[in-house]
Amino acid sequence: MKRFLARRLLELIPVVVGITLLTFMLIHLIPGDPVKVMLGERASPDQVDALRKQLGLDRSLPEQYVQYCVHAAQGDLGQSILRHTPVTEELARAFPATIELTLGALLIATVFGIPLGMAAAVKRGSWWDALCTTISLGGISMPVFWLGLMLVLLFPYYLGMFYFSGRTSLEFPHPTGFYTIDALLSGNPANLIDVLGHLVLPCATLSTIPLAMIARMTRSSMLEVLSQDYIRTARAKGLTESQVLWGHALPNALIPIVTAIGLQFGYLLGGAVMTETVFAFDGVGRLVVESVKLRDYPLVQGSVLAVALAVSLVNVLVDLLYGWLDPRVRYG
Amino acid sequence: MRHLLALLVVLGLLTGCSQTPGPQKTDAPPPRDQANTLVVGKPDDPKGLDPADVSDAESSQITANIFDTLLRFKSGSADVEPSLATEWKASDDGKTWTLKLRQGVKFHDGTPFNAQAVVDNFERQYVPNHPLRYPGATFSYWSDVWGGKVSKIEAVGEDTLVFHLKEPVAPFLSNLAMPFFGIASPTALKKAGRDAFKQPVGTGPFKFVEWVPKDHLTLAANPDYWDGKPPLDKVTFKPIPESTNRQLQLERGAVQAITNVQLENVEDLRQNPAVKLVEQPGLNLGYLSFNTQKKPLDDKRVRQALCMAVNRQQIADELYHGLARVADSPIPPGIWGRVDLPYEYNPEKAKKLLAEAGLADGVKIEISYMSVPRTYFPEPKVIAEVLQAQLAEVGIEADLKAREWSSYLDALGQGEHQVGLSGWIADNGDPDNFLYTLFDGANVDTKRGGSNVCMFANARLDKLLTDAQKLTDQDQRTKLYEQAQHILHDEAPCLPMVYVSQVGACHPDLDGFEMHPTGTMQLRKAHWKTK
Repeated sequence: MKRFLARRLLELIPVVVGITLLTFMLIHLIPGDPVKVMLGERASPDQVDALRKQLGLDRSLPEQYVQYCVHAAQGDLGQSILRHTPVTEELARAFPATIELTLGALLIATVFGIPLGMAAAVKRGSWWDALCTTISLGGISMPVFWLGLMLVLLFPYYLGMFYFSGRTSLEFPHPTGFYTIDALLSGNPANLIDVLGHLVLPCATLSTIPLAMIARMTRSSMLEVLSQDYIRTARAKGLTESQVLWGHALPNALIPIVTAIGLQFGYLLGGAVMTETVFAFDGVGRLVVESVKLRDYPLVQGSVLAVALAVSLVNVLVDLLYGWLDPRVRYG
Repeated sequence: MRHLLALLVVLGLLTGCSQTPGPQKTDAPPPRDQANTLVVGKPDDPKGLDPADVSDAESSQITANIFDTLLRFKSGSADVEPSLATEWKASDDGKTWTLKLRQGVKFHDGTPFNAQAVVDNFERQYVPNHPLRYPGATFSYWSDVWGGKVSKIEAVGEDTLVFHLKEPVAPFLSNLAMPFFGIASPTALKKAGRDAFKQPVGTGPFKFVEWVPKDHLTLAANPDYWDGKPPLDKVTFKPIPESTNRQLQLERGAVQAITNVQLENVEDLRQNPAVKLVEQPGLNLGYLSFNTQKKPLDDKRVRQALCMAVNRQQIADELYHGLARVADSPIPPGIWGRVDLPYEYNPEKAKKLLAEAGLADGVKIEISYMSVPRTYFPEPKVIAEVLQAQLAEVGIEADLKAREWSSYLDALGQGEHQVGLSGWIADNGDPDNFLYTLFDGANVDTKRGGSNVCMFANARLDKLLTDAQKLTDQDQRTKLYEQAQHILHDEAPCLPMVYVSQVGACHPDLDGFEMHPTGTMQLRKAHWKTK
């Protein structure tokens, strides 16, 4: 187990190096120039040259890459070209927001998705099944942007519930950047209620696609398990239907579902741009998109690196979960 | 069956919502706290708060309320009036300017404002290795506006400032009114370097309170402001990137003012009694740049034909929802020195001109457009398509080419295009800022990309423009600029298309919420109507 973990973590190194190289090449290969973006229409060529030199963008690409890696290895991801702030500072702000958003969305998706998928499998062909299929299809094809705006229109605008945008409307210190944790630390329940209230709509918006995926995965995995002999045995020995379902079927069906949840986690970490935009939620998705648009090289590099690391770690975690879920899985 | 019905009702509700064309109108303005505060919803956070080191409107809209400049633009125009400087005089050769500074002004941290403070602020922007210069700062506006023309800035006593210039700088006074030359407290600069702008300290109408990036930024009234304490006690700026969300929050009173209203929502807001639309003609120009060095546009007749083949009125009316004016000069209204020299829309005459140029059988050209909306072209692709259709009527077959914004200016500056959608937003409200920058031969740079994207070089024009730069008398300059505009109208290196208004909106009880034509936002006069 320990060896497995060590091996998996070591394997991350080539992945990370590969990702930095790939990001570096891609962002430099696409046309565009951060200096031009910064200076805009009025830039004179002399100014452009001077600024490029100042930012070190006049050096050769391999030189820039090596320097980036040396600094990154020391924990220095450089400075945002446009904001002049350390990239780590930007990430420290955006990453906790994304994690909270993602975990909230996955929570909703799991809590609703698994029972929905189970019901569909158990009552295959019934209206439950039809509902599950409809919701899955709807969830996958729902334009997130539109859904977000509709929720804003329905709740804060018409019903006066929840919030239009942002992460909190109260003022309390943010030592960790995770507002839920900060609110708990502040000791004032009003803060926590406010922060959770701000999370509801964006998390609900973001949860549609994973909810659909999880429900579908649960349905098919459960169908497969339910046709197994041991389920027939369990029923034959007189267990109640709920004991059979929750005690025998679900644990055996969980592995593909956990895989699906893990994959969705990775997808949500970097892919929540639309939700983040609608709800003015300052997360990594928007950070990546904005920095790509502005060709803010260090910020693109840093955020892609952070997302990649997080996704890889989640994958390791999912692998470990397999062993816990299914004792037959051996780590060697 | 019952469940199916419920499902249908839910689905029906969802689709029903989608048919709502934008937000519902409510008749009454949203309730608001009686407190003397204001929350402004903006599309983005500022990039930074050092007035000298930012170049985007989101940032300068905020810094303009914290920092004063030596002169300031009058409300709604590009004319200047005294601010931290009360009087000024140029020497006869235009190379020395003496400014008298306002007495008794204090920075928000209590430091007295004086001539040395101005010298420190300006020197850090152009003296290499100046102790108050911090790494990473670009101060791009300084070099852009002054070039290397400032030789020395001198403090004579507490209240007199002398600028020594290497050559006359015609837009000297307008330059000093740009928000980028706001004066920061030298004490704060010395103490904190770049971090000084995490807690910016100026002399302006509002003091900085706090900035939680991407969440909110708060300013409070400066009770000792030399021009009187502003009526609002507190102003908070909130970044709300999505325009519909911004608008909904305004209608529900979560914010009381918003900027950057989408043109397509303007009609909606105009008819909504719960909000007040704030329109301000902007000092900007959207134009079609013709690459005068590429065939067939090197022929003046072809360029003139293009100018006559485009129905600009139709574009202004239909694509800008009444918020644009057809441009009859490269200089937008609100800036002195402009002459109206309209091109008539005349497809017949355009065809005749093309025939004279030997292109009676039609001609093919390529129109480049940018990938992102700009103030002057909010929907570049749609405009390009309309142009394509209009040009087809006179036998010009236009191919459209989208180019990514970050490489757009390079491509056009290097002359890769034939016809391009181009634009300019005023920096300092001086005609030189438009004519010299966009049309002087010195600004053609095919290697590195210059600002003269028409690749236009005309010795007569260049002489007029450089002569005008050396004069300080506005009447004399006006004469030269008028001649220059006649040359431009005749040579047609570009077709001026539109001047576009900036649109914001606010609570109907809020007065004095002003968007300035230069793109900044002044809140020192904003106040709630007393009922």
